[in-house]
Amino acid sequence: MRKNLRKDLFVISKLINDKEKILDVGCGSGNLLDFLLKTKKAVCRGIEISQSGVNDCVKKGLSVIQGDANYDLDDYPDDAFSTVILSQTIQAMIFPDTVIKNLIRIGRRAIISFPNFGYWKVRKDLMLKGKMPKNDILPYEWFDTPNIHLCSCKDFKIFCKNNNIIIEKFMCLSEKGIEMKTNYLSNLLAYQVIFCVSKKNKN
Amino acid sequence: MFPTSETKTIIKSLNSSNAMVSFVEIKTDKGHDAFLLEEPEFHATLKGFIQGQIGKHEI
Repeated sequence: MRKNLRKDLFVISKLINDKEKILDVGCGSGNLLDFLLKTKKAVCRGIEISQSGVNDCVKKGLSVIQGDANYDLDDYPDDAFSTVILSQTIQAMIFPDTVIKNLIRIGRRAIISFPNFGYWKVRKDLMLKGKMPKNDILPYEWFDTPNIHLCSCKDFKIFCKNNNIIIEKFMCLSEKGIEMKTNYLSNLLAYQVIFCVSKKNKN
Repeated sequence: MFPTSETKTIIKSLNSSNAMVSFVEIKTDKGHDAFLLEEPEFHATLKGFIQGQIGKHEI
């Protein structure tokens, strides 16, 4: 079962406790939700934009709605979930700031992962080649990329600070998906990053 | 008959009350009787949903 799971999703799954109530935003084919349902007995729901993704999820017996996270998160009530997950999707959002605020409104915490645009190879592509960076998780050309709001690990931390969002946990992954120690060089060395965030003044 | 927009209103209400709900819109050129006709995408989704529920509730 685990071999179907992307490495970053497996790392995220380790952050989830048993029987949590989860919303996976942009859940794709539902591999993470299926894994959490089976291994953590989590109560799982999802939202996915593609019809084929929703079909795959429904086939797995998951409760998934076809919808656009940019617009459809407003319908969910406050604190409806213990954890809301947004993996490798924030960079493709039209309104990432609104989406993040909705995530921490709907869930008591949000786990957000994204490709780190501050990674040294990304900087190298731009600086030495003078071209838009491409790699395994940023595979597109400049003209066909869905990634319209890329950010670095540092950008995200500043965003959280400016919006009174608490960073509960911060994790870095290497190109091979292996967890790395976080330090002052994380913005340069991390290929992917995972943030666990929540709103201030929660009861 | 209910257009998708009305179904979405129902979905919104169910979501607001924290119900376990699935929703997928399947495009077809067969009009409102499409569910009676050969529509592989619809059949695959329905089959998956029923199988998923059988597995979930151990029927």
